[in-house]
Amino acid sequence: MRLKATRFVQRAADTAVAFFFVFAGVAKLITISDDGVQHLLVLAGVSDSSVLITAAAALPYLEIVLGLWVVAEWRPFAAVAATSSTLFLFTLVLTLIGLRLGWGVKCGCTAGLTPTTIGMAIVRNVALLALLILPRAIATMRSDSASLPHGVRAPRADVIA
Amino acid sequence: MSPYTKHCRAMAIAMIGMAGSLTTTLAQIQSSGETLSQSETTEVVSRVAAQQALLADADANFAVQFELRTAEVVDGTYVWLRSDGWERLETHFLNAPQWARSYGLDDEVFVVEPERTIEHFVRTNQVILYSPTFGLPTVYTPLEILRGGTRRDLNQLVADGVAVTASRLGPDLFELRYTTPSAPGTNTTLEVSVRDGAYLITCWQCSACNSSAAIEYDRLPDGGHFPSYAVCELGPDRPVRRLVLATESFSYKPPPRSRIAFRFSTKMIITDSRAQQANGDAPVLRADRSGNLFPIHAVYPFRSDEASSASTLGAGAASAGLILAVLIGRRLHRRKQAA
Repeated sequence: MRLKATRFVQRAADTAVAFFFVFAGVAKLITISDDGVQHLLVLAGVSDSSVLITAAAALPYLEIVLGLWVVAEWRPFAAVAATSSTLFLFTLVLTLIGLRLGWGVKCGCTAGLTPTTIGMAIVRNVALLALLILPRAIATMRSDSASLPHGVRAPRADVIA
Repeated sequence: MSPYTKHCRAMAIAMIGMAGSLTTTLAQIQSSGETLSQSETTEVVSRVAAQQALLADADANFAVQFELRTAEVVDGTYVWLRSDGWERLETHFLNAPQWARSYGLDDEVFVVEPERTIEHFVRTNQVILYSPTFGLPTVYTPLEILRGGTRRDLNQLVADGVAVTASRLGPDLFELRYTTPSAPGTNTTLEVSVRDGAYLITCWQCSACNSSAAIEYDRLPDGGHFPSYAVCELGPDRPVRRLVLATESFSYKPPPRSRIAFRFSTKMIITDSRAQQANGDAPVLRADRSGNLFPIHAVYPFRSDEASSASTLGAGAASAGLILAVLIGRRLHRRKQAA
């Protein structure tokens, strides 16, 4: 029962993360706005215009694909790994920018549709990462303990050795 | 060990690996697009500001006063004034555009009124003329604006309708790339003075290089037509260079999904202000103050607040729809499998 509940929480968390990703991607496409992404990359020190253009053009599609991949539960490990890594990269870039310019600068995420500062965006990304990883970790622990017969404790590692 | 534990362990290892590679990649990206660091920029700006204080016949309470002159401003031109305690003296600027508000720059970025000549005095430490071409901010210090020049470490200069990107190729080697929107038969004059390093200038469709004998001129295989380009190299042992480029035709392709239009005029002057500072005397190159020094001719599709909230709703609805479709598809697929 508890395992089922954990699984439900995990799916809900995945859906929330997926919604954010898809929303960010769709927002960028709807607003026809590359400048937010490019602005952030410039602030991060990227000056190559081809990198900027490519990143700005590809990012919305990447976000949408990752979001839908997470909820599709097709190769879930790869989906979560890819999404977590992308979130980690975003957070890294935002941290670099925050260190240079301060945490109160608006990050322009979601094409500027949501007024998020860099500090808030980092906190949000960490929360999203936690949403992706924590339910899985809890589910893992519970499935480990559930696989043992009732009342039997897992043997200590040194005893096994 | 359960499959979940294995997955979690593998995921952790993969994430650590990817984090490492991403950090490395980011560091590489940063080093490849070498620009002045924040501290360096601050140092340059403060040095320039100190010089400026001697030059300007300004209020002694302010170290900096400069003249920002634009002419024939078209709708959508905007200017970003960044400073430590600046004072807005005129009201020729409209409200901040949506993108500026989203970055928290409400009191720094202003849209310039259309078709208006502005002679604006403002006290500030830094002016950024924000070019929407590639979203690259262009930084001018007051000294440079007074003298009509621009720092050589600029990411992009939009002056007189000519977009320029500058990047550092080596310790004393910079590449300036400039694009001139279609203006058949119009001459662009580029004056560059080289004192402390070599410049490699690459230009699109350099159909005429009327230059002094010292300039080395070369053409790339395709004859200098877009997207190939000619290369004009200037060395440090040649103190003053003059290069005249004529654009007979030019096909300007805007960046993907942008709506940008540039107008064209004929003057572009680039000054090596670092050499200027090093020498500390007369500017390397004196700008023609009578001309339009820094107009930005750009049309940018600013979003209104109403459009933003509509976009938010639309993006939310579309996202929810997409996710719902995937969830339904997943359930149907499982039922089919179970059957």
